[in-house]
Order: sequence, then structure tokens, then C-alpha cells
Amino acid sequence: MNYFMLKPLIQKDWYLQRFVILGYSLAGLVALFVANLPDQTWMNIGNIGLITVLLAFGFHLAVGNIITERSQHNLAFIMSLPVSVREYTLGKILANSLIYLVPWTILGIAGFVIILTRDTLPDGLIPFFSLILVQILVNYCFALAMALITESLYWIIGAVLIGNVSLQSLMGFMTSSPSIKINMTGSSIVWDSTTLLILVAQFSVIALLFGITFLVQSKKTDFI
Amino acid sequence: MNQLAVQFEHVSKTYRLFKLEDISFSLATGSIMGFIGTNGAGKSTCIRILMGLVHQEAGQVEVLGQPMPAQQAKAKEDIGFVSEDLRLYKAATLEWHMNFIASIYPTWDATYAKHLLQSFDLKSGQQIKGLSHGQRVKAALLLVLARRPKLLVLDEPTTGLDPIARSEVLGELMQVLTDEERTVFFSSQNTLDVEQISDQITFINQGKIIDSSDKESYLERWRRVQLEIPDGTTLTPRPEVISSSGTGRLITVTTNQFSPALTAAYTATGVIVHAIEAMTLEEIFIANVKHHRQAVSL
Repeated sequence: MNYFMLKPLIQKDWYLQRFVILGYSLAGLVALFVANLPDQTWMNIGNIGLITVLLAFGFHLAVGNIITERSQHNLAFIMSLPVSVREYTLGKILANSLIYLVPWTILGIAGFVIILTRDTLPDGLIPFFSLILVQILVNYCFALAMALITESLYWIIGAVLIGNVSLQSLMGFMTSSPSIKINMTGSSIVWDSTTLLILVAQFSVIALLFGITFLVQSKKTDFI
Repeated sequence: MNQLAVQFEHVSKTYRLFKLEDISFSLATGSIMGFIGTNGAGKSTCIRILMGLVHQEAGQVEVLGQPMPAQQAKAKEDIGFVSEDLRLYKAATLEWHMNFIASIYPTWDATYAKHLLQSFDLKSGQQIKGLSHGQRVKAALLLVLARRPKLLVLDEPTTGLDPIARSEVLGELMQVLTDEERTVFFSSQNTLDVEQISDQITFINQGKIIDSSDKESYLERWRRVQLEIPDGTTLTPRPEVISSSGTGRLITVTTNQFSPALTAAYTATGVIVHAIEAMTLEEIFIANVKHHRQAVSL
């Protein structure tokens, strides 16, 4: 593994996506501002806006950084550098994950602050909010893995649809789960076993997705 | 020290509608090979295998002493690759690309890069999306040449260039080629370009190498001979003649193994030799491809 090449590959993706990062971060902050308005309707709009921004950002990154790079023949330029498919794959996973984690972390922290500081919102929402936030990250990792493995826009769209269904299902499950539901409306933060189990499962899925991506990429015999 | 910069040994690769068969050739360090073939002949597939981007199913490939594709990252430290379908990032400037490459290759020569900017008439601050096709090719070539790679792999770099841009690109390549340690693998459909800069020529057709030799040998071996067949004389088939055309008394034969013995043999049978014509590389290429296609169809 030529680790030396990872830094320039990551810096390159950051540079090329800098306006996208800025744009989605600003849109996310606007959504948070709206969610923090006193009226319940505005809060709902803001929350939906926040989720939409994070989902759209993930889709935009997967397409812009991987599919477009291939379709515009930039991949030939990158693969002419001292990299193999392994370095390329690791560079893409690291760069895209780090890029995504910036607005994801900022918006996540801002969400936690709003929940903890706003009197009308119970602190018990924190585990619920955490699971939603991590599920959005899982959905992004799924779209990223599909982009790297299939290099197809259609498969990414499929991954986004599956991700959306999984997010809705998770929200449905959490609001119907008695233990989570009770804790959600409480004034203290409770990490019950169901919540922790879901969190472990979510991070396991992320690890599995990247493991499969490496495996499939290493088996490819025709990269360009 | 390995004196071969590139070595292909019995390399094969099969696709659904195309097969690269038993490709073997080698390129000595410091030499310049022109790789000529028609569209779909297998040039780009060979180059992708050479770069480690496509894995061969059979055979061995070694580039700069590194087995490919296993050690492609190591080999590519010293390979400069420019392809007709390689694109730089549209939204970035040429200067950003230059800094990017300079951050990767310690051999980056900033002075030479400035010289290339001037001779190619490029502006470093310009975004790639504002460049014409010719300027984009020159920009890609600049990024490769300024890091002084040991092996230059050029996949149809002059395709689609206007005559001025082509002349500038070829001119700079000729300058580069004065470095005797620099090896160049140059693929093209344009035999005139290849003839100008190559010292070795390899022809590929329908996934097979049909001929590989040094340029002078090609030009010496291939001849068109105009013959007159007097009444009562017949033209005896000869193994060194690959094709003949014309009817009646006047016949033109093409040979790929010309020697004075051929004309002497014709004269001995009463055939009159009117002219012996040298052939251009393009004519040799066309005759070679036709000959092999006929041989396959028989």
C-alpha cells in the first residue's frame, strides 16, 4: 500500500468539493435556524430540511466525486499516478467520509445543543436523534459503497431509495417501541439496550459496507 | 540493471467481442516504439495492461522491472501517461494541477514546467474547462514531461489536434527524446507522427501483433516492384511477395523481404523489372494489415 498517495488524493477531493461542502453546510445551518424557531410547524420544517440536506449532500458527494470523475475521464488521470485500485479505494473512502463528516458533525452537534437548551424539547430525545443521525451516515456509506463498486448512477439512486426506506422504518420502529418511546419524552437521557443494539448494528453495517467495497474492488480485473 | 523498459510475454485478454492474443514484444531502455493499429486493433487495451489498469488473463508483463499489475503503483512512479481520452479536472486551473503533481513527484522540474508553459502557449491561471482540445492535450503533456519520467506512455496524443498544435507537441517530444535514458511508447493511427519520432515500430491488428521491427528495417525490407510480363513468360509465385496487383502485362508486386536476389530471380525468368519503389510507413502499414486479413480469411 502506497500510503504516501493518500494525502494528495484526499486533499484533491476536498479542494474539488469545497464549494459543495460550503453550500450544504450553509443550507444545514439555515435548516437548524428554522428548526429553532418557536413555532412547532417551523421546527418540523427545519427538522425535515436538516435530514434532506444531509441525504442530498451524501448523494451529491457520491455522484460528484466518483461517478462524475469516471464519466469525465478524470479517472485515467488519477490512475496514471502511483496508485493501485487499493489506494484509490481507500483514498475515496477516507476523503468522502471526512468530507461528509464535517457538516454531519456540525449539524449533529447543533442539533444536540438545540435539544438540550430548548425547554420545549425533552432531553430524552438525544438517543432518538443520535440513531437518526447515525442512520443518515449509514445511508451515505451505502451510497458511497455502491458508487465505488458499481460506478453507476442508477445503483446510487437505488441505494438512496433503500436508505430512505430504512430511515423511515427506523423512525417508525422507534416511535412504536415502548421502551424508546417512553424514554424519548423523558427529561433525562436514557440509553436503553434496544437503542444501544441498534447503534452497534448501524456501525457494524458501516464496517461491513467498506469491507465489501474493498473486497469487490480488489477482485476487479478491468478498472478503466 | 534491467535493460528492458517494457516486456510483454504471451499476453492474452478476452472480452465478449474482442480478444487480445498472445501479445509479445519488448522495448529496450532509451528506445522509442511506435505502436500502430486501426481503431479497435487492441492498442488501448495493451496500454491499459501496460499501466496495470487492466489485468491480463495469461502471460507476463514487466514494466521498468516491476511485474504488472501487482506492482503498478511502484512502476507508475516513473511512468508518464498521456492518453487522448484522459481529462484533467475542469473546475481547477492548470496551476492547481501543476502544484498537485509537484506535491506527488519529487522529480518535478519547475523551471522546465515554466519553459513548457511558454512553448505550449499555455496560461497557468486558466481553468481547464476554458481550454481547447489541443490546449488540454498540451497541458496533460506538460504535467507529465515536467516530472521527467523514465518511461513515457502516449496513447494517441496527437489525435484531434490541429496542425500547429500537433507540430508543437511533436516538436517538444523530439526535444525530450534527446535524453537517451528516456523510453517512449507511442500509440497512434497517424503513421506520419510515428515515422517522425520512433525508432521501433510494432503493428497490431485484430488483437494480434503482426509485425515488430526497427523503423529502418521496415523501410528497407518493404518495396513495390513494377514488372512487365512479356508474352510467353509467366510470373512465378515467390514467398517474399505478399501481394500483387494489375492485369495483363503490367503487374506491381509488394514484398516485405526485399533483396536484390528478388529482382535477379524475376529477371532470370524473363520478367522485366521496370521500377523498385520505396514505401512510406503508411503504405507499409496498410499493406501489412491487408496481407494479414487475407491470410486470416483464407
